[in-house]
Amino acid sequence: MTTITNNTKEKVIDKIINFEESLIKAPTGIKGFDEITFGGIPRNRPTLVVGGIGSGKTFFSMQFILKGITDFNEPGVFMTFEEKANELSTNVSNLGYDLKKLMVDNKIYLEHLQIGQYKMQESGKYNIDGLFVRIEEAIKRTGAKRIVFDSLDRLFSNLDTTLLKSEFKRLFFWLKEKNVTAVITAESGFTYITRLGLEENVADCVIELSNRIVNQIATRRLRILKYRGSNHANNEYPFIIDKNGLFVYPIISQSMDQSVSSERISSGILTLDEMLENKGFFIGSSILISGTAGTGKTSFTSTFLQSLSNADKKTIYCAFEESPNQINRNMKSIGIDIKKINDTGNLLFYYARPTIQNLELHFMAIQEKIEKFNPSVVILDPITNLMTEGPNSDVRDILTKFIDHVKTKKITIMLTGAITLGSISRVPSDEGISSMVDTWVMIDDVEIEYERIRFVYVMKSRGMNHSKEVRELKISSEGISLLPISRNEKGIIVGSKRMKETPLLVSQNNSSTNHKI
Amino acid sequence: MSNTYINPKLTEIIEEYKKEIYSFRLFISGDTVVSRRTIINLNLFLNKHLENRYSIDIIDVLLYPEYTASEDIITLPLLIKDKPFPEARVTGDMSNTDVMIKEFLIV
Repeated sequence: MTTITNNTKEKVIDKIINFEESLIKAPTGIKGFDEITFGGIPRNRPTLVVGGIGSGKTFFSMQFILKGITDFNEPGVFMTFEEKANELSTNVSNLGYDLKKLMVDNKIYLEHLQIGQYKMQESGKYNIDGLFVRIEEAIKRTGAKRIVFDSLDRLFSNLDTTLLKSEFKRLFFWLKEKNVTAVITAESGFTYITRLGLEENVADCVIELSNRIVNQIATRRLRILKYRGSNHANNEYPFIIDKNGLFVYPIISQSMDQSVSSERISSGILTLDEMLENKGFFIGSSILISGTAGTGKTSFTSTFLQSLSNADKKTIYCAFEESPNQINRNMKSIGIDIKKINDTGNLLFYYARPTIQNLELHFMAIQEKIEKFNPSVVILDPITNLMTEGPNSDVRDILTKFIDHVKTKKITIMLTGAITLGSISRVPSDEGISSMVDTWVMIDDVEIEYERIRFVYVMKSRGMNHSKEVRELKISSEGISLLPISRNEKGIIVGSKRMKETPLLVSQNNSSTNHKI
Repeated sequence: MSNTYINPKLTEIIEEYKKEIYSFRLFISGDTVVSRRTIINLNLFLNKHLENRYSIDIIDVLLYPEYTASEDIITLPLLIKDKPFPEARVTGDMSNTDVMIKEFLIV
């Protein structure tokens, strides 16, 4: 029996405390990733990035190095076991970095370790000291703070597995002493997370990348499997790779304490403003224009757009159904020239078929556009088209988060959708969408005496004493107007009756007048 | 067995091979037990099989680290046969002589 002396106990405690204290994070500079890890990957420790073929491992690690150079002034070493240096440099220049210059400036050092070029036989015991020497040289050359081993498990292709495993343990321990933050990529496996169980040794932080196909739409996703000594977000997060690099979309529910504005913005339709305390919508609120097909939802958004442009406010118009050209043509019929608005620079179109990619990716793309364009209004026309993607509860979740995100930036968001009272009872998620909007303008299509009449009413408008009346929608070449409904002894005068009958009394923005008849 | 025919040309070629001069490079890392053992093993091997027809350079990569990149070295110790063609590589402490005979085509 051995007893632990006080002295050794203290040592153990010291060790633990040192570990706790030494957990500093190195920001990767990858948009969204640092948010879900609350600051990045563990500094001076190895992080394992696993994923299948084409899941973006190399891209992730390259971004880590490049951002380290440009954003944090930390030189980096990129050790690749797979791609040739010139192939990598094309990849890098596609991202808009000048690799040659970075290399001349000694900011980055690329080394291609050719495995399998030489057939090598084993005669007795050996180690991977050669790799150690190369790493040390590379770190010395650039003063590197970051290092990447791209697909380290490639080494296993022609060397003894058990020996390499113990050698890697030595390597990672040694890297910790070198004070470099390491990213190691490895192919994902079946029995272990990685093909060869690398995670047993590199266990401080494990990130999994995947490229999955759901309903024929490919989505890249990222998940943090493990982060020793730190809390992290647990979900799978979608990410995209484009010409700006890698971008993770953190769907973390925003807090509800967003600041609210009491300023107003006109809807562009004088008669609709009348119904909204003569002032219009709140800035930074969410507005839903709903109605069945052909009730003029796009006309509403376009009129709004026109008035915004007149007030010199920027708008992002996300069209999921009609192409910008088609909208342009159609809106000419109500006297709105979208092309002219576009020429003023106050309009940015986002046009995409919902089916081309996953819903989150649409929102990621829109979000990026919002960041660049800095609009005061975002229009989504229509959101019901997005419902075709994914289970409805997902859509609602994503949409809520998106609306929350937009609202925190004090951006007014206008949605259109084929949501009617009838559809709510059929599709429960429609109800959810209506609960997340602040102002809901409903267009109802009713048949009266063999004539379809469109009625408009404000179903709800949070925070204002909106009119409860129902008005008739008239869309003409002069634009949209909401006509008060008048009546005579025969009943209400709507539609074609208006032309024949002279109304006895016209209600003046006050439904109480109706009772006087 | 006496009636086995051996092409005289073939024997000639093999005789030629037996005269070939071998040139090796041995890469080690530092003056360690492993390095020393490797050198001793190799010395025994070469003197046994290639006496007076080999040359060898022993390179310590800790002193000349640039070789690791230019020769693409990962494992150590590493023995490279430069001559005769083709180049061949064996890694380890050179304790398995059978592998070396096969790999270096030593006759």
